Amino acid sequence: MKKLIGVAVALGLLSAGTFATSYAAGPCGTGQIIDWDGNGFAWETPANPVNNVSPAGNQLTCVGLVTLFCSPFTDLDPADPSTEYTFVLSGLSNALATNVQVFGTTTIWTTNYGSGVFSVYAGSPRNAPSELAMPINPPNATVPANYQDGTAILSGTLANFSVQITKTGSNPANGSFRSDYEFTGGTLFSRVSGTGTGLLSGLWSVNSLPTGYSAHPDGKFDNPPTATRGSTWGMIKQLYR
Amino acid sequence: MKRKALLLIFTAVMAFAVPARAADILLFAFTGFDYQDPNTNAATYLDLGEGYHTIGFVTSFGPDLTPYVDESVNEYTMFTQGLTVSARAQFGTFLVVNFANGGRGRYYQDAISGGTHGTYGTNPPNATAPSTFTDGSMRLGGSIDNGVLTYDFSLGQGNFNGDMTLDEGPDLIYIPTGRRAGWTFHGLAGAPNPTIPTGYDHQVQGECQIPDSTPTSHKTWGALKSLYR
Repeated sequence: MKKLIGVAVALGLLSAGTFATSYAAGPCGTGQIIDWDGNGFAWETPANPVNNVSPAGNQLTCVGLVTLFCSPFTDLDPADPSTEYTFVLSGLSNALATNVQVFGTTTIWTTNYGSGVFSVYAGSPRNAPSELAMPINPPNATVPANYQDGTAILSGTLANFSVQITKTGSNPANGSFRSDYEFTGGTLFSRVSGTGTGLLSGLWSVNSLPTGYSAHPDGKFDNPPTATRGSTWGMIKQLYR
Repeated sequence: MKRKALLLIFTAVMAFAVPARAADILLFAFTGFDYQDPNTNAATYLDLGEGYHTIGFVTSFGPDLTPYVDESVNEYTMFTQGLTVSARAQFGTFLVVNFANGGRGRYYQDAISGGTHGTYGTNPPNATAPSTFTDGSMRLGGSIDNGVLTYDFSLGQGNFNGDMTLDEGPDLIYIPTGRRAGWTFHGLAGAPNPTIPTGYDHQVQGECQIPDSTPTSHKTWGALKSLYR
């Protein structure tokens, strides 16, 4: 009887070893592969949410400037004066309006934007707007255009993209976002081909925004797991002969 | 009389400067993990009296600090402490926790060559955490008040935020005096995932930032009148 034996165990052990050494990699030790910080913005069309409520059918787009690459992209320098690394998340849409819940003095706004796509670009010259001077009311002449010029080094799909904003008492509203992602293309796809579904998540700040923007996301793509595949005992033994 | 009244109204309107809608100013951004200490009730996440800590690495600096940091020779870490649960409410799968005032957040600088690399280990506090994140030189810190954490266990995501007033460290001189209060320290408390070391609770990803204020401008009465002639 042939047994189907997943190679997940062996690969899982390898992955655990990778995580153990990545803890010694400074900022990369949290397990992310791509990180962005201050230059990250979102907006919705046809109109931004009002009081954190997004009507059904809105389209969400996010752009940003990469600030950190981790393995297997540590050869890419986000501070390279001649190359700018940017990303765009797009194609996201909420089928339902924002769900609002109130518990005591806490209000929770949860919006599910479903599926979309993402791309990471390497472009020259560096022309993404400064986060201190974002052109108003995107889409405009430079947003998202200056975030999606250059070569798409990575691209992929997004699924289950959700945003949750909370406000407790007199504290300012604050939020987070999370999504599943999977690499599917790009000129550097070969470095991550064979990986599975990873986690994209981060802070979703909704205060003090440039005109026309709905949020300032600060987030990261976590290291995706190695995809598992079925195998047989005979095939496993073959590997070690 | 009517003209005088109109001019007075215009003056009143001009005196109220409408701030430009600019983005927040980033102080620094960070990524890391969070954990509880003391964790007197392991069965309950952030029970009353328990402590909440975030620990990790600074991933980028904003305009106030960028001229004074060098990530090619230094490792920059962050650590928050003194956030004690003062109130806790759970609504189904949704948790809201308030922290007592007087928490503290700091960032540190440690030479890459010759310094001790920040190492999370497991089950903090341990032999390396937070010690390897707080050794070196404490550069800038401040109090964290009005701290709150919310977490949705069904979604596996949450966030935390607090008001930060910068008040210590040699890098305090780079922060304009009028901009040392009013910072927001906030971030994601992420979903459970395999990257989280044993004993830590969530990945965190966040920032310390402050709204960018637009100053008002002063005008003479003559200059104001000339606008409407």
